[in-house]
Amino acid sequence: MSAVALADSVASGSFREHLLPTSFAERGASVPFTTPLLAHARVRQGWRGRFELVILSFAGGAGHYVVPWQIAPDLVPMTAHDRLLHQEVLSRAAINPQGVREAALAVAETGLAGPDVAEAAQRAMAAENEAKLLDKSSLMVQVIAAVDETKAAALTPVISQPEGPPRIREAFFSLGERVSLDPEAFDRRLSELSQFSYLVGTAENPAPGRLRRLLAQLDEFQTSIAAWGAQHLGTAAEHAAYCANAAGRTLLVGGAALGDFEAALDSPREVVAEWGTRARAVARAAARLAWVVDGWETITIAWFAADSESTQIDALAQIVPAVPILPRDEAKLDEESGAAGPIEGRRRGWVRTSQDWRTGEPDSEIVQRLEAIKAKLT
Amino acid sequence: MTELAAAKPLTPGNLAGLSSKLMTVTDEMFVAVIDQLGPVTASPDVIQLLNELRPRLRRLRPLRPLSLKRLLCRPFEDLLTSDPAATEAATRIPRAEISACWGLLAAGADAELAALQARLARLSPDQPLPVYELACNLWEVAARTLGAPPPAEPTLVQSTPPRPPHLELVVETLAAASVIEQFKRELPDRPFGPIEDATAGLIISCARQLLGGGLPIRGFLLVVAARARSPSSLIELLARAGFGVPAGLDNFAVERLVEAAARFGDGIATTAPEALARDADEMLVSLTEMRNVVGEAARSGLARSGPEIETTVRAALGSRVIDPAPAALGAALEADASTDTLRTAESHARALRRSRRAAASVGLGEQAEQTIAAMQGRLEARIRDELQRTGGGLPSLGSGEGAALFRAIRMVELLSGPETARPHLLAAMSKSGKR
Repeated sequence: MSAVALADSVASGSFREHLLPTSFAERGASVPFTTPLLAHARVRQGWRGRFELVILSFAGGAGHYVVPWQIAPDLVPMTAHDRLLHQEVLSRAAINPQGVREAALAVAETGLAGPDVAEAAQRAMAAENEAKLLDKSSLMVQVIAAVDETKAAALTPVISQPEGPPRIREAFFSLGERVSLDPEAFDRRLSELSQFSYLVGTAENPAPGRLRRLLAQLDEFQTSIAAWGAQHLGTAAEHAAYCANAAGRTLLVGGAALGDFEAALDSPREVVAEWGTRARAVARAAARLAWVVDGWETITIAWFAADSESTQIDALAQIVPAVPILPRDEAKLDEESGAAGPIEGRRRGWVRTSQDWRTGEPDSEIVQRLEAIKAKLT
Repeated sequence: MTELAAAKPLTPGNLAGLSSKLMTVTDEMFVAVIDQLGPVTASPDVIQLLNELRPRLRRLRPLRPLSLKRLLCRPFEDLLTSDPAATEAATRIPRAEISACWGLLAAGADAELAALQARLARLSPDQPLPVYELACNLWEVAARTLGAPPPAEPTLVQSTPPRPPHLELVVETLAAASVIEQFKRELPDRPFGPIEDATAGLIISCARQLLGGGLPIRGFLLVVAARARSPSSLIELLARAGFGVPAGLDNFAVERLVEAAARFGDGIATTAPEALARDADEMLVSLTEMRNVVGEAARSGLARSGPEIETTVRAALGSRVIDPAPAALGAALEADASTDTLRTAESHARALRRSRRAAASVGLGEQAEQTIAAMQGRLEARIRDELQRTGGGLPSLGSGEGAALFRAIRMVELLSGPETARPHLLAAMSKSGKR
């Protein structure tokens, strides 16, 4: 096997830190596979531009293993869903969270991971289209506000109403050249802008963008798991504290990323007028936030689905190995918060069998559990 | 006290409309109202209300109030039973006996309990370490008090009446309480899975700790058995490690299996097929293991219960897993199959695959294999038809086409495993240039 151990549990101190990924791109984008061995796997582009699969706990240990993406199906017996997803990621050249998400939704819609996952994918795609429209309306209201505040105030409450978009559009076009560009051209650029800004959404948008929502969900997760951990002693308490700490540090970085996004999109009117650099800054900020929350949604879903002591303990055992590592450069951002070094060093986990020892095939019960989580992804 | 909670005392009768109000109040107010409901949680109205509030409860996780009685029960909570007749069993503690047990403790250590209560009043549930230290003191006092011989009657023949078996067990678990709690902290899963090396090491080290301190290990081992998915593995481990099997442990393991079988039998009509298949398989594996490891005394009980368990499993697999599967899978192949139909079909396909070993051990192996083969043949024929329609390749993703093809591949995977489904998918991918 041409696997390279990136990090190992025996590594410690600065040597361990040195082995941590430097950036989100180096950490890779999480791929929602349903094969248990690949449950926390990520895709990334290696230094020669080839695609790589980063597998966590491949042999039940704490290491990360990197293998060429192409050979993954020969290495791990995959479910049919994963076989297709593996191919789709490659054919779309999806190496960032949004690209992987689009590939995953397209594969999920086939039903190869079950009817609930297929329905969830359809819902998510419909919600995405709706979010783009809402975001554009919301941006238009902000542009109107810059010219005519009274008119904008009357339109804000109807953003999400059926009659909202045509009324907002009409009001927008009535402003004529006052918006700084010819309204048709302005409208086209707003449409382009909303293609990536909808992921976060504006504060005025009544339906928060998916990334903004995931950040809020992570905040709830941190509160909940920290409170739970405070009531326990021993392994469970250590694991809960580890998760709460990791979530807290991610929230810190996420808060900063959200701030950057909001600053970049502070005035949609100016972004459109000074297109180019300003629009790229918005896109960059949205993409960065997507990297920050990448991999956390499955964790929060698993935690909130647990409603008894034993299911919480069980969920914790699934969650701990999956907690995304904050890359080295990002971790520096919260050094002042008092957190002591990279949290990866304190990662511990119950070792779970994920393959049927009799057949070497993916354990069907764990596959089903992963599919249940996938059916709740947004 | 908050306004809402203080307005009028909450009783099961005046809860109408409360859930929608509670979803809008502040976290603090919400927790205050939940605290008020604490003493009446057994009422059906309150249970319904709590179910409606579950999402917010899950997020806030309000703490349960502390009490000495609740702390006392912690080491033996896994051995509690609602069966009041279990007073004679040396391996269970009836819940109904806890009050009497507490009465004995209060009579013998009133002053110490009062001091502990005063300490407890200063603590809150989110201080687990001080609470644990207090609990250790309580368990020590309780083990000493309840374990002390009762005062003998002033008769000519001095004799001490024996303690009832359940009380003996309470004393033994309390004496081993700190080790039991240490074990639970290290291995919080319940039930915990197979006893692998790390788990075996933990059990042995805890047992040695108790033996080294001259403390009884029976209570600890019963707690471990109660938390294990397969208590027979514990018996095997103890025999292997040269500890010997404490009295009652193998009977306890058999009792647990019989209870699981009774629950299984009661749920045949209502349990989903895949859960039935899983439980049937686990029960039969346990039964086989148990036959190999239990001692003579428990073996006679097993000789009675074993065949009954096998008959129940056979009936369940035949009527709920094997016989209905072809119709359920057939319905999923209809073009207009609903999501519910698909879910049911998937449950049957998983169940059938999962039941193979259990079916073989109760004489239904051939029937199960034939059913699987027939259904697989039908699904593969459908795959061939669909591939012919699409020109041999996969439809493009996102086009909404090919649902029947993907569904048939999925069903083959659930029924016969990914290895069997893979060639069909790969053949289609290869023709589409996707491989």
